[in-house]
Amino acid sequence: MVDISVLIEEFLDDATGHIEAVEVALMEMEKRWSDGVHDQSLITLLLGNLHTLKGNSGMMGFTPVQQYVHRLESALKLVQDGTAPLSSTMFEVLYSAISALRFNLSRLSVDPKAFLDFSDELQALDLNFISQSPLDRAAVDVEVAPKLKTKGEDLAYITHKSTTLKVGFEKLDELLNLVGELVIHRTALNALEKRLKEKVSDRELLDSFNETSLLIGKSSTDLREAIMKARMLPIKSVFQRFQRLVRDHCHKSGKEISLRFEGEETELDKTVIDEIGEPLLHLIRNAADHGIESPAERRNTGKSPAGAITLKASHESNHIVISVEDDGKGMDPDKIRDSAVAKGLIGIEEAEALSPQEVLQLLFLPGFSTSTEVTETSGRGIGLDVVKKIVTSLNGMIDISGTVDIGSRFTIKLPLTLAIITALMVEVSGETLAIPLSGVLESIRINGDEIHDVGEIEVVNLRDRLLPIHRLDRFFWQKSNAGRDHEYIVVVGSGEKRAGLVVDRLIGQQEIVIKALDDYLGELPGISGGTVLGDGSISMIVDISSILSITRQINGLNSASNTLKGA
Amino acid sequence: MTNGETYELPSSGLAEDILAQFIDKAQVEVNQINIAESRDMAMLLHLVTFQLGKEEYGVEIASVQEIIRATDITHVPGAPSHVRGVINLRGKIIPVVDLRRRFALASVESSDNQRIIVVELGEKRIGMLVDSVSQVIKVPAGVVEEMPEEATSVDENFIRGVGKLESRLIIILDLNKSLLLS
Repeated sequence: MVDISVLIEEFLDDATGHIEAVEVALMEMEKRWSDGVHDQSLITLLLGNLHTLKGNSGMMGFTPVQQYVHRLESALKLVQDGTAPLSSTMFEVLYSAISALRFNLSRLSVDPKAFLDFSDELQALDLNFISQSPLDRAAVDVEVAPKLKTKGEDLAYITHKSTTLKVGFEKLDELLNLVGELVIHRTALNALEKRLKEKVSDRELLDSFNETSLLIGKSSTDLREAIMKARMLPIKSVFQRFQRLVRDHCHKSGKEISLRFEGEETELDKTVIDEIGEPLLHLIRNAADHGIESPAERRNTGKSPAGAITLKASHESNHIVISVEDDGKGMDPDKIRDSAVAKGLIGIEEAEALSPQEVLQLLFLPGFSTSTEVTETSGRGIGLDVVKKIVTSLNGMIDISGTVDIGSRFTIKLPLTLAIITALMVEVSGETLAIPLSGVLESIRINGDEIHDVGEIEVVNLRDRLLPIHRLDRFFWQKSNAGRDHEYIVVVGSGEKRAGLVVDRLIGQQEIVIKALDDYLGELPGISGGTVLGDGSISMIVDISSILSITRQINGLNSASNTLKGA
Repeated sequence: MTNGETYELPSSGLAEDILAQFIDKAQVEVNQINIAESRDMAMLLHLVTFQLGKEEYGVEIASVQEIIRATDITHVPGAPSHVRGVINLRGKIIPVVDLRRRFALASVESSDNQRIIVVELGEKRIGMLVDSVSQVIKVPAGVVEEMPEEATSVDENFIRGVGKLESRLIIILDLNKSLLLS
């Protein structure tokens, strides 16, 4: 069972707000009523607040609250359409309804499983609003009204202190920006310390400088983490949106699918939460449409008739891993191979040379869609290539695996936040560049003569696999230092594509704050943004996927690899 | 149109009231023209002037955010050719336009006199790299002439006007056209 205490807190806070709004509106309504004005807009406002409260209570599983609020709603609707004219008794009943709600919610805050009793209030409601006989009403005036009052005398709500605060996201973003600056300045302090060490001989002074610098570093790291935490939301909010989608899909297709969550309490930065919905949508549609078989098919293969799609989220060091798994028919490499060839995405010879794992990567090629018919859920072939594009644009990676008749799994790996990343700093042609570490597989030093020309591209043979290389100096500045004795190569990957980037020097890892570059600069191939370094200088952030996309497709290269092996 | 706005002749048959209204209205119009003229006479353009090649240019001070030394411009591979690079302005990365390149002037060696004038253009902040910054002056709007028709070509449409002072000409830039590519 998931720990829902955080959610309860949120719910209660929200509910308090709605109840307050209802009370204010009710008082205003009473005032106008006594002045002889019947204000419809206030009732609408009341109903709006009650409706939200009802919905939220239902979602939290507080059925008595939900049912009671529902009855309140119906009663007020009678007032709205004029069936039940207002009277002072009715206001009393409504006020006591508010008190009863407050009272019961406060019990929930102590014990979420508390038994909630609205029976008296329900009775009062029925008698006053639903029953049409004026005589009955007169009787109620005397009997029920005083009895209800006794319950509503808990005044704790007046002194209730709110524990949460709604803050605009921009404010948090601004805070994070400022902390980003702090992190930068702190790096500058490090550089300063190195210079001080050369000039100053007073050990004691140096030590205390060092200590202070460390403390500032620690505080800024803590501060950053605290702000990051404030920006975090559980991924549940995204996962839950798909329940309905899957339900509707089952309804239409006659399939039985249960959507399961694992690790849905995993918290993600809002920037990631905002972006993850779309790729997940495509993946889940895919699983529901192409993965899970019909109940009959499933029985034939000895599976239970109901299929399952599992959404998983977890933290893995500096990353978030989100996967979409189904226990459907899996993916048949042979079918995919044939389909890719038939669609002209790949040559027959090239296709035959691919390993089953490499064949699965073909699914990410633009224009590939495993199902020949167009369905409502998956729509047209927009799918995996789009998913991949989105994921790569978030500095993430996507992987695919699957076994025929067992199921398939898509795994998305994303950085914790889209605002700060760890980067490998390198020097190219005298400029410092930042390569997002999420895309760096390794960095190697090789002899210059290990680089071979294969047609128009250069490759190195890395552990029996040909790796195409790009000289960043040539890529960015059209000048080249080719022909050195040793070359430093940063091996990067984006999806299944791998390549080596030739750099002049490796500087080291560093956390950087991503800053978007002004669109005045136009489209910048190979650059995804800029960052300010500790010494105040700027360095460009290398866009790995954009560099890789400029090169040939991986399949073209692998056939080259085979030719070479055969030779 | 409502009835209240139509003029009905007074019962006396005389149209004095109506005439009076028209006269008042005309007077208001005349006054407005006078006010506009006198304001124009007194209106001064506050300009930041700078040197670019042999000419002196000016931009309105209201759009100038600050003037800084031209150091540490980071080249941005792939950016438009008239963009010299980007600078770090208190943590914000802003583009710097090389005005010489923008106006197709020969480029020069960088010198200590070079400055970046940071201007605000709507939401954007853009730096302009100039040879040197001269001064801040007030020019009466009256001495600014629009470019004569025959003298303007496509290349010169970034000029808002030319300020004629006793011994010199100041080319006043239209920042939008100078910096933004249409």
